Amino acid sequence: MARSTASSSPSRKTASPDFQRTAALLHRLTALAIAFIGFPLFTLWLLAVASSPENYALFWHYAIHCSDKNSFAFSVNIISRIIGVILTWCFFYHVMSVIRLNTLKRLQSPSLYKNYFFYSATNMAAFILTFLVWGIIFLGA
Amino acid sequence: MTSYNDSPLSGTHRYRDINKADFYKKLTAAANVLLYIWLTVSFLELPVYDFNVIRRWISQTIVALPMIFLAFSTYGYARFFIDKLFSNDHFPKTGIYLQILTYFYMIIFGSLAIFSVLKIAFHSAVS
Repeated sequence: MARSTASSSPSRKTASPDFQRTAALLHRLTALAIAFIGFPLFTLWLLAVASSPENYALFWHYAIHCSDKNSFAFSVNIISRIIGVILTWCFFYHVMSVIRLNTLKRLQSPSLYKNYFFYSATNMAAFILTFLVWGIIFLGA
Repeated sequence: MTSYNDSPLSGTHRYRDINKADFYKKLTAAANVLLYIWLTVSFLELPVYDFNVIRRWISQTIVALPMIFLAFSTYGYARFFIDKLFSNDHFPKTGIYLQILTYFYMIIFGSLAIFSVLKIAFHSAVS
């Protein structure tokens, strides 16, 4: 299918439709991940704290730390940490995305350079903050 | 002189509701950023994460109240997103059912989170 050449014009001030669509999709996916996976997991942790020490120990054993490397819980631990890192990135990406969209909306002289610059800068900030949080967690552990 | 700007015939209701929704969206978004930063920082500041320490930590008023606000603001903000995601333009037939389903999901998890925090707070206070 032939693509429109209008979007590659040097005078355009907004990112290409494909780029905008991908950014919007990522924004929505990260929102879904936070609201429908992240917060329910946090709720499960709260429920475990509210119920009993045994339930909290069970949650801790499966979701956070298991010392026996040959057990099933250890595999679950690895998956839960990967999910934790992804959810942290989702949160920071979403926050940065909202900041980026609101900043671009208020720009007096929008340009393609500013558009891509903000996208790269906020993406980098999201990655750095994720590494920072998990670096503190792992170093603390 | 009587102003009829607020009357049902003025036609400004839709505009006013959109403005109100936009205001609540911004309010919950700002609250989310502040509360999640507070949660992350104060959680990382805890020396250990054993049952008694966590329970004592959540039972403090200064922790329990922001956690309840967090549940409210998270799903209060997600509500706008759900309305937009499952709007009638995108899902003409199933949109309303998907909205109801996700609303129930949010209500269940939100109330579970609030119930847990209140249970910890009041139970710790009693014991």
